[in-house]
Amino acid sequence: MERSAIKMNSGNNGSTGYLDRIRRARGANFCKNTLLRTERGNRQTAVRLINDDRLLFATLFVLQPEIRERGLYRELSGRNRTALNICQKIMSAKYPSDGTGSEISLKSEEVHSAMLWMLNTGAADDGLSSDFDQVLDITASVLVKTHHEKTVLPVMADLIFRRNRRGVYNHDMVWAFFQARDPQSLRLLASRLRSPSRKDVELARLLLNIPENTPLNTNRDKQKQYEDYLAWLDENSPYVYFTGESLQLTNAPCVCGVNQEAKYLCKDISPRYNRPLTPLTEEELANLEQFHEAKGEEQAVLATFSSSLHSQNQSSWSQWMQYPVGRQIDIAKYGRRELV
Amino acid sequence: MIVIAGNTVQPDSVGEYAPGGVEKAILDQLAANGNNTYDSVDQLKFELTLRKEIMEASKQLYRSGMGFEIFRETRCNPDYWKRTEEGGFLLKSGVKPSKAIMDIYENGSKYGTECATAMMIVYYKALLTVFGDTLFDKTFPKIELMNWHHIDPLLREVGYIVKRDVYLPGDRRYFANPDVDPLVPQWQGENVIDLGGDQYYGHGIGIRSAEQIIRALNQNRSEDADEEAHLLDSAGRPNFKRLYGISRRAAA
Repeated sequence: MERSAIKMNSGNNGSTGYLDRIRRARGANFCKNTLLRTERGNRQTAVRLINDDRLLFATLFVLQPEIRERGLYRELSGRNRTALNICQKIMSAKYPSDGTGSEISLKSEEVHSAMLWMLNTGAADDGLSSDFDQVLDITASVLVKTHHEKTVLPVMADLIFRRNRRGVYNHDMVWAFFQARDPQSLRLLASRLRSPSRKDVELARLLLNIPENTPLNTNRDKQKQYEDYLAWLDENSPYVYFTGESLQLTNAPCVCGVNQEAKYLCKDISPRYNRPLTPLTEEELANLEQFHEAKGEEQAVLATFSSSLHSQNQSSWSQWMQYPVGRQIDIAKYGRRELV
Repeated sequence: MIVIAGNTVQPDSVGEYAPGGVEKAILDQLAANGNNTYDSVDQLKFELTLRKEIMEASKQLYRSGMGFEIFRETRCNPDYWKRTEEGGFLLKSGVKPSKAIMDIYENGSKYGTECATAMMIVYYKALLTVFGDTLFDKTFPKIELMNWHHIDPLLREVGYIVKRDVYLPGDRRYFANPDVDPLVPQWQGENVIDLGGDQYYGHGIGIRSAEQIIRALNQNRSEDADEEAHLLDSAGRPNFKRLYGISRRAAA
């Protein structure tokens, strides 16, 4: 299950290049020596091996010094050159520029495409080195924040939980994941509530802000919490907004909340700005004024009843919304016989 | 309002605190905002002392020479601490906790970490000053410094950040930068200690005003940013009453 998302999105159908197989079977140094030996014998063959469409990002990453040393950069494919430029840009704060073109715009489609390849084929080699992992983190955050790319969220979720199991740093990847501000992405975390790994379950609980005392010990407990969470998400997803809270801010981030006003009006909101996607009508503004007259707990009751009724019967919902708020509360609490 | 053992009290009746001093300023704010209840005068005085020491520990850490590093590149003095895979610092077995905390202040250049872990170091140093070596070592035999995670249960509340009636010197605050440039996620926000008088200590950024911190964060936003960095309307605080209880039991 861990590898499934990575394999699905790798873009090379799981096959690998010659240099990848060498690196995986014999290690990075052997791979580097193989490239150098090949280049000394036949430069074009060496270039062809690196430019193999099936090459994994991790292999290109470890070969960076040899590529520079042998002056192969200019003969690389566009994807490989862009990927190396991205690495250079990410690392530019740490190492002086070597003139391989770190001044690239991260917004370009070329970068978008190269970054998809970097993350999707690089994720399986997470842990290769600190620099490599950092490149994966930043690649993920640029894809999500700059390119609004959501197809990588399953890969990011896999990385978050794999790193957690290994006990290594994952806070930047968690932060990048939530930058997508996509309510549906929460499903990827919720699925880990059913994991046989206690570490997975505990992290999913933390990230979904499920109370600590929630029973999650048996398979039945886990299944119940998973189903409860999905039911909550189904009910609330049009009204979910993201708070921006992160593990850098707190040990118990509340990453998202439900806009009760929007739920009451059955009006979709922007998960980022926590505002309705379309302006409120006069009627909706008047309804909201009524809603504000109710107490906090009653507001929650009204919002839940409203969204439920709206999904079941829009005509009854329209009728109910016409009632004074006191009557709305009574119907919400005690039944809806008054509705036609 | 300050309520001690059920009675409302005026700031002047709590103790002899110099006008213009930190404790007096905090007392005045407590009296003017919200409902602040204490079991005893000593419990309140303990909070004032610990808040003052949190501020002092912040200023000392600023002067210590400790570097700023992202988690992947943190460093520590291996004589006292073991660097964890996550980038945190774990107290080595056989080492006195008080000595290990003091080493960060005395050999700051041997250490490098990010802003949240620095806040934890500040809290431990302040408690070391208030408790003294013996009680500190007994109370915190195991320490792991890793932002708000793996926190000792006695300090758990500093990891929570919630809206308060009043914000006081010694509080942990947070400047958020929602539109941070994704290339520099370490600028996504700044954990700070409120030093009073619109001065805040944030590790890596120094002692600055709110406006200066916001400006620094804004300079690290993405090109198409449309949201300014801002100070959150919330604060983290240790559980002063629980910590006072430890101090009182030790003195008894």
